[in-house]
Amino acid sequence: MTEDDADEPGRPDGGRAVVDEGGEVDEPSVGPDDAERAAADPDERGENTVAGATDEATVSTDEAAGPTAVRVRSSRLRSTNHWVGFAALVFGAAGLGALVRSRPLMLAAVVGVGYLAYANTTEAPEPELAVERRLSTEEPESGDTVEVTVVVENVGEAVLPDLRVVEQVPEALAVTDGPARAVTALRPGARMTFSYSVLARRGDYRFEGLTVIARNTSGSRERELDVETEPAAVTCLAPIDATATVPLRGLTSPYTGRVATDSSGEGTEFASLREYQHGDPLSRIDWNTYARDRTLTTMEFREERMATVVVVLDLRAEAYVQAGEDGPHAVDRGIDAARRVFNSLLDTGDRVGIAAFATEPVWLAPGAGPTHRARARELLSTHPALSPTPPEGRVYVRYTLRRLAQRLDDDAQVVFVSPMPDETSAVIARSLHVRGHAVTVVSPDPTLRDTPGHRLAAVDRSNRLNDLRGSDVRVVDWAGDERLAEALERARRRWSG
Amino acid sequence: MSRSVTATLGVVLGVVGIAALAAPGITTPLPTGDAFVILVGLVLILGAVAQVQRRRHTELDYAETPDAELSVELPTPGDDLDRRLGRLRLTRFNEAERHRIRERIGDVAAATIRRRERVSAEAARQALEEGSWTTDPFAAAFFTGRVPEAPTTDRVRELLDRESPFKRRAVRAVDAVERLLVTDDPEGDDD
Repeated sequence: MTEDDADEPGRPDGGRAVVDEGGEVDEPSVGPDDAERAAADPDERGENTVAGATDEATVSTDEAAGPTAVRVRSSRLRSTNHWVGFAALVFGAAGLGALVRSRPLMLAAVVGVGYLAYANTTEAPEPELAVERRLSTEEPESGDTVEVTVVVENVGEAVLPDLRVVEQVPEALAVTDGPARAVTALRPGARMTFSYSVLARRGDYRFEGLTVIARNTSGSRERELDVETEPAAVTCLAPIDATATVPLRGLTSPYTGRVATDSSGEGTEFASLREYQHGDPLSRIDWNTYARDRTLTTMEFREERMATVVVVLDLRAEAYVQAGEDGPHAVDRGIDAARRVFNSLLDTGDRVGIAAFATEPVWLAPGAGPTHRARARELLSTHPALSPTPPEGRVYVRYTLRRLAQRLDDDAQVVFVSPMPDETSAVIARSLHVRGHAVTVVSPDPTLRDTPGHRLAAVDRSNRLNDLRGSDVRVVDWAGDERLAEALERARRRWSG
Repeated sequence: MSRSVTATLGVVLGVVGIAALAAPGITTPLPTGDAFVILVGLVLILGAVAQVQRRRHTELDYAETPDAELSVELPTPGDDLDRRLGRLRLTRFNEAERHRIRERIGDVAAATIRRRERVSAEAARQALEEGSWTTDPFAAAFFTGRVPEAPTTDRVRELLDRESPFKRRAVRAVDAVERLLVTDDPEGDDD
């Protein structure tokens, strides 16, 4: 049967599995600890034979708990139709045998009957597995490779003659090395190990599921299971560095992060004179008036205080666009920009907050200080709404706008980070603007100019940004091949020019 | 139910067959005439054909293993229009689809004309309908619906082109719209 060939381990779409850690491990994807383990306990060998793999024992010196039993989330049993039509051979041989009165042909039919009995009398086994997942690191830097090693043990009574295990890799993570799956046969008590690598990216990810397919020996029946394993988590925080390079002067206000108010008090800009009151500092006494008419007057200055800036992210599904297939997508770039802008503003003494148009509420009230900075870093790295994959729910733009309007101080400025993919994003920027907030749009450019459709979309977006500029919204158009600092600098020249 | 009946029948016949090895006499009451045997043979051959047909109409139903290794792919703005332009051959007689494509390109074109010429939206629409917004006769014809005011050789060349005139003109219209921004708009360059 040709289908049988495809069932061998090492088939093109299947992974190669190492069954049972131990001696001659010739599998490149196996972690180094397997070999160590084998060297450490050469005598702890049991017996085991699986699918032509090494005949080594289940050896484990893991100090850790080792594989833990899995919980079956859903199970589905079905016929594979693998043997359907095989009876044609039986009927054909018997029929021909009867017509030409040939005994050998009749006997051949009996052989076929035997095969059919073999195919249809066994049921797919119900796998009872224990799984352990090891990660080379749990807190990688963005861009690091994380090696994931999965150990699967058959803890049931039944032999699993054909077992396929596919890892449920978190959607946003790309596998860079090795298939995240394996095919093998497992006797009771036997283990297999496979490993693969993923590229870490900003976010919080959990590995907690496996898809398991178990077939009977003949391949006529199979059971597909979705199992839940002990979770393993990878947390990849955004880097702390790289803030000083963002020239924000002029981005939010001409006062380098400070806004003047109408109330009098401390400051540098003269506002008014009033009668001296006991306790006024000497430095604020107007000595000229004193010299002229010997009365003590106190100078009042225009009070200045920190600017309040809220960085608003566009996390609607529409914002999840990407120029081509490579490189970070618009939302990732936007979140990166938000982080830099946030830190720069914090450095210049502003109070900064974070909000987002997302399927779930994202709100970090404006604040300052190292704790605030750490909280923002945590939020920008791991908040579920800031996931690198598009949200599934709907984003209620009007509601979010209303909510945001309630939360924003009257004089708060807004940095709206969005690729500006559609008219709604322009509406958001404009609504915030007409409510009296100074709005700056920081827009990672997700457009390409290679095909007619892409070119038209690029022109469309360029028109949209131009319209916004026309209505006094500041726009930073951040091209894909450009550093954020350059884009900001270019925008600043335009504003001051 | 029928499965167990046939299984029982099969087992009974098997037992009779084995018994016949020891005592050949017990098969004498069974019909063994030539006609009967040929009939049985033909029925079996028919059964074989039926099985072959069954195989041909049955898909293998293995569990699909999920594509765990691929991370999500996101669209590039404008993919949708490209897809629709690519499908034009299939939607040749779908006038509504052509109308939608013309609208989509027309909207962007009008906005661009408005931006470039600093005119009202109505004036931009009018320029589109008159074809006065571009020097490319084929791009202009995409919105006017008239025969392009181009030399005969160019028009013949368009007819011989592999692509439909609609698609060709749509692409030329997009190019012309893009040129509006690139030519002499300093803001456009700066974007």
